[in-house]
Amino acid sequence: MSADVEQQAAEWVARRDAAGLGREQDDAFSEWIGASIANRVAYLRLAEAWRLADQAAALRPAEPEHEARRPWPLIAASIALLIGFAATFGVIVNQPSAQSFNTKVGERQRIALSDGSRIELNTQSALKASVTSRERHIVLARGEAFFEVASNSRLPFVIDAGSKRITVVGTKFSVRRDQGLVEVAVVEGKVRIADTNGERSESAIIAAAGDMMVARANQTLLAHRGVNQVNRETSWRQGVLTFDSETLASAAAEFNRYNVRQLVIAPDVAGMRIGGTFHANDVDDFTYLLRHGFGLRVETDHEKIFVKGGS
Amino acid sequence: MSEEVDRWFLAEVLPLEAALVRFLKRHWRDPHEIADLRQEVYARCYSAALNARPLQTKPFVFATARNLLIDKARRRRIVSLDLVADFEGLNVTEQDLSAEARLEARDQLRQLRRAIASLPPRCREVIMLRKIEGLPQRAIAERMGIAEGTVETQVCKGVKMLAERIFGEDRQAAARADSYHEHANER
Repeated sequence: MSADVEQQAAEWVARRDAAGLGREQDDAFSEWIGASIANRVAYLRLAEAWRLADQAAALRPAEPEHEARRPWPLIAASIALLIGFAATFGVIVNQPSAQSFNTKVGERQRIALSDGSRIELNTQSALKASVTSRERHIVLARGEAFFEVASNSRLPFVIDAGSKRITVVGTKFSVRRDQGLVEVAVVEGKVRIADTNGERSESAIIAAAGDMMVARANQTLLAHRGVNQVNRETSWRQGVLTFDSETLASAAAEFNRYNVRQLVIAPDVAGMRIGGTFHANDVDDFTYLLRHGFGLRVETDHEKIFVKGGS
Repeated sequence: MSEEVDRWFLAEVLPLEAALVRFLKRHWRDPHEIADLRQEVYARCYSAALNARPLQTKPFVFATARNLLIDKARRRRIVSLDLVADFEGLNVTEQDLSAEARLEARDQLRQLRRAIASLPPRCREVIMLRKIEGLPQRAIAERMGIAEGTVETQVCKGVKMLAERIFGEDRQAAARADSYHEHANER
């Protein structure tokens, strides 16, 4: 009996794949999947296997093949729009040669590259870009950056971040380096991540929209967190920090990336869970909430802000 | 039915499939019924989680499996006493609970490659064109000179076999639990 259910579920996966449907509504499908929990779990299982099989794209050689050209009309459109938008902010337009960019604590910078790609550099970050007719190569020396890559299937966009090399054709995602740790959050499209030394396809993985990759040395974890979570991870682009039941200690660590005045959290309150949206540069807003919302004690000297449990 | 329960099911229940199937096979004599039993365990877990999410997924899934086997065996008692391998000793062991479910990303890729390689030839070609080359089904039909409906049928067949190999018992026990947890706690 459940063999039929599995067969039906597989047919839905195949049919939706043929029609290029993702999560969109489709009446017949909604009706079927809503009809029983048996249908639902069978479909979830197969759709997940099908999604995981996208990883197989990493088995392809890194160099794009002669016919592997893919159109990315949506991305191209959003890039053109954003450039128009960015231009009014007076962003730096990179000339086609290697160029370095640095941000200080609390600073953010928008960079428009000559190939049409855009980069937003987060606080305390350093990056080198070399964009020519032969290569598109970025080195993220430290910190975090968000990338919108202009589509060009013949010229892959390559980012080196410590031990990891990230290769893309056209997509939106962020990369963060924190000591030995590299983090990639993908908002749109797909990226290929391999080790910097050696482009063996064995060690490459593919991260798609909603995926987050965390790597240290040669250990890599890929997790599907969903597009909403990934958007939250990249909320710094709006100058905003968003926390969803994070510990006070890790929220403070986030704030400290953006501000010279550093938060110091006492151990007795470090594990407290907090949530909310704050301006990255406005620590006072945050400590006001801690004082009045949670009854914590906040003491300030000229370069540190101490947060302790209420008495 | 909620997206939250969907996410819980995908992230916490599905990765237990290999251990679950091993458990079912050890305690149920008819191998043809294992897939049905597995699906029923999933459905029971999912519907229970709609009311209240269990604190610990793994013991909960195995307890559900155990209860299902006992229910089934009781109902069929007249037919055969022999269905459950060891009715009395139907316990969830330490080993069941410690069987690690997650693979590191690069092991996943290796395993996926093996899974694709093990598909029947025609099915394999379709899946490779779809997932490795990234061609849409229509383009695959053109390339292979077959009907679009045939491509869809092969995808349908392929996804069932891939799921068995990705989640199920067939996969290699190359799990590296420790490195996973280390990373998960990194931030």
